[in-house]
Amino acid sequence: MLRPNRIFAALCLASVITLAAYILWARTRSIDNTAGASNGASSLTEATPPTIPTTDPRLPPNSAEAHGTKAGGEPATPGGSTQNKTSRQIFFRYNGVDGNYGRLAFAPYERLDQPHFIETLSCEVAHVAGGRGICLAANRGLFTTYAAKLFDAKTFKVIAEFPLKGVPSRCRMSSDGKLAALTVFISGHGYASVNFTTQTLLIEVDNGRVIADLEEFSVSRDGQTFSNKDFNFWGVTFTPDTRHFYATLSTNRRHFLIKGDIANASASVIHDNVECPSLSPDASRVAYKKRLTVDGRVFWQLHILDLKTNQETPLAEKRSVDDQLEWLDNNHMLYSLPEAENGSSASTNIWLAAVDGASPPRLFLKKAYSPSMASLP
Amino acid sequence: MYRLEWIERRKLKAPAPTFADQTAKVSPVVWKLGWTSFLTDISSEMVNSALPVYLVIHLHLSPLQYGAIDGVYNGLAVVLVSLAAGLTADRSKRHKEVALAGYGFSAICKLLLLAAGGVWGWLIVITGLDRIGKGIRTAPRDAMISLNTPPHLMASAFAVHRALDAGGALLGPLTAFILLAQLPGAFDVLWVTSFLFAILGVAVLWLYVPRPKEGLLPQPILDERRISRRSLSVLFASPHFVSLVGCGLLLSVGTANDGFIYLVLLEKGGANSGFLPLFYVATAASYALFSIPAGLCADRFGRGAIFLGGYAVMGIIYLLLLFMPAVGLPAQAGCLLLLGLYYAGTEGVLMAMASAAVPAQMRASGLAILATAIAMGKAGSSLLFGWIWNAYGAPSAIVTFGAILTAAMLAAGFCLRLVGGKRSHA
Repeated sequence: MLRPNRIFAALCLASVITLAAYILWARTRSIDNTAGASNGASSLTEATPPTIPTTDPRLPPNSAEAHGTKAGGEPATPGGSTQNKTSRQIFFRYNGVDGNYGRLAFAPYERLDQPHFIETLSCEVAHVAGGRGICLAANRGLFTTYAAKLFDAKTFKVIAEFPLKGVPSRCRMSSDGKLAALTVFISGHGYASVNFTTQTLLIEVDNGRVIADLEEFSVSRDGQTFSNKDFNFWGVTFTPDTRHFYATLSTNRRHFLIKGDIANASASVIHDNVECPSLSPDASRVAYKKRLTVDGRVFWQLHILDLKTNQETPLAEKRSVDDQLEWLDNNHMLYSLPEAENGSSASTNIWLAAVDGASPPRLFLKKAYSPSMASLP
Repeated sequence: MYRLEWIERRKLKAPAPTFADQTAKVSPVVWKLGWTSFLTDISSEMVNSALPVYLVIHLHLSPLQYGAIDGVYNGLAVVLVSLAAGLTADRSKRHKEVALAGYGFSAICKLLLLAAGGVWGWLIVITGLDRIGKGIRTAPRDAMISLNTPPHLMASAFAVHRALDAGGALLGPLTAFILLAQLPGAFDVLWVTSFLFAILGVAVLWLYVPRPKEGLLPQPILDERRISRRSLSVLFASPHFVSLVGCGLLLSVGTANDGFIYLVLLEKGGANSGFLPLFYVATAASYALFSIPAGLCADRFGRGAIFLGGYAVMGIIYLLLLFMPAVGLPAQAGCLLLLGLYYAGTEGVLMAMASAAVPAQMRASGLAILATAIAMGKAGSSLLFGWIWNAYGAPSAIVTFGAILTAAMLAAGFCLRLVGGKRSHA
């Protein structure tokens, strides 16, 4: 019995030493953060064929690593190199499994292969507009809690923070950065399930004050007061003047598009079967997911609704998309899809679709979720 | 030997042996197999809980898709390899080596995780491969447990093993959470830790567990060379075994996957998915706590009764899920406690009953057949539950499953009484 004991003791010792050495190495690595950040950047680069509609000036991966490294120590400034003119930045949640997992990242639109990671902001979903951003964060552990963080999109300092009552789902900034909206699941786990409840809040960014819970809005339909116990709201998108918004109101298994008036705390139903609306920059159209049922399953086909003519146009995307779209410009939109076709993957990629409904969707960014496009000075 | 005599002497003084005696009588080999599972479960559960698969899959999939992936994935892995592994173990009489192959395979999977870098797709494929390792090792290992245990202690032995196994499932996620809290985002440290635990598990099996002793085996009733697919018909000729497989299959169809029970609890309770990892840990804790008492009771008061009692507990969980108006935190904890109790009363006890019904020469094959039947039942159950939930809502699914479970329990009660009446330890 002596020999097995010795072997086992030796194995235990070897394990402890290996683990200690590895943890020590991981610790030094996370302190100067070079390895983690460059891993993230390079794997992202490798997997990213940025099929951008305009130009694609790809740089060697080495320089991408260098940039990724930079973000670790001190917050990098978006648009740092082109400070004299407005630059378009794509913000997203990074999904690759490495030291940057879950972090908010941004990359210049022309240089998607050079992401910067914000070490202080890990988000389930995020949105940036008007120089400010909202990040719905999870503190994971045996008991996971969620919080909303409002931050400055240049310094990434948190302006205000408050706890959330449920699992983060959607969030949006107004284009002037003054208001934010968010939706969480109070119970339930996804829009495809039968029973779930959501909470949708409007927030004043400056002080993090909740200015409205959409449940308290008075809703009208065809001029009549409309109210039901099973009302659920989600997916707010602000109008450019930040006085109104569009959102989804679900009741009795129907999903209406509503237009809300923030000052009046009122909303009216304007269309049927519209989920997660997203208003185009010119405020003339709403991109959304339309719920269809195929073989007893929920299937969401992306559509565009012309707000003047009420005409619905399906997009060329033939897969079911469960996301709130983000307009890149008046003709292109971004959205996330699971990595694997059958939806079994835990990661997502960002895709780009054209408004014309004809050109096929293109892969925009890999291992990324929750895209937003921000023009920063 | 010394220990056995001591217990014999104590028995003479006090005719009714205490539960402590009963536990002490469980062979050290079973304890060692238990420690192997303990270490291996720490290893695999820390990976499973760290991959945000739980949360992400729950957030992005409908119940039907979730059920399909979880149930079918699990079921297929077991169906594909467990029967082959069981037959190989029986035919070669090398249970230990086959089990080692299964444990080793899972250990290698942990190394592959490190090699996969940050590619999600590969990580998911590898956790799937890990389950194949589980499929390989389960039947030979359970056969070794039973071959090292006298018939009257069968349920106690399985209970000891399952308690250690559940203990690993309890500590694995805790280890993962502590590591990730200390080193945020350092998934590779997790994979390395997990690999080391897996290696230690393999080492315990390799170094400390002897091959099944011939002395414990009953007289051979079959020519060894004839243990093959054809001779499986001998197993199926035994009404006792067939009824056990049938009961196991029926009952597993009527049992909702843990994941669904957690989802219903979340939806009813107004709790968010943040609780989910805690649910898994709480269930494992309850299982670890109740396993040995349930096994001891099974050996003492009748395995069939405890087994059906376990499913009755599942029935109670259904009733609670249906009729509790609003589920608070204490009620949720209560449901999880009951879920652990259900596992304690059913899982190991069924294996003990099956071990008593299968000749030693075919033990691994017989247990593999049973495991396969249960895995198929679970896969069907997951698909069915997901489909009903999607189409008609969670309450309809629970009512349907309650009905199936009741029917299955009636059938099982009838079968077990019929075949078990002839045997003292059914």
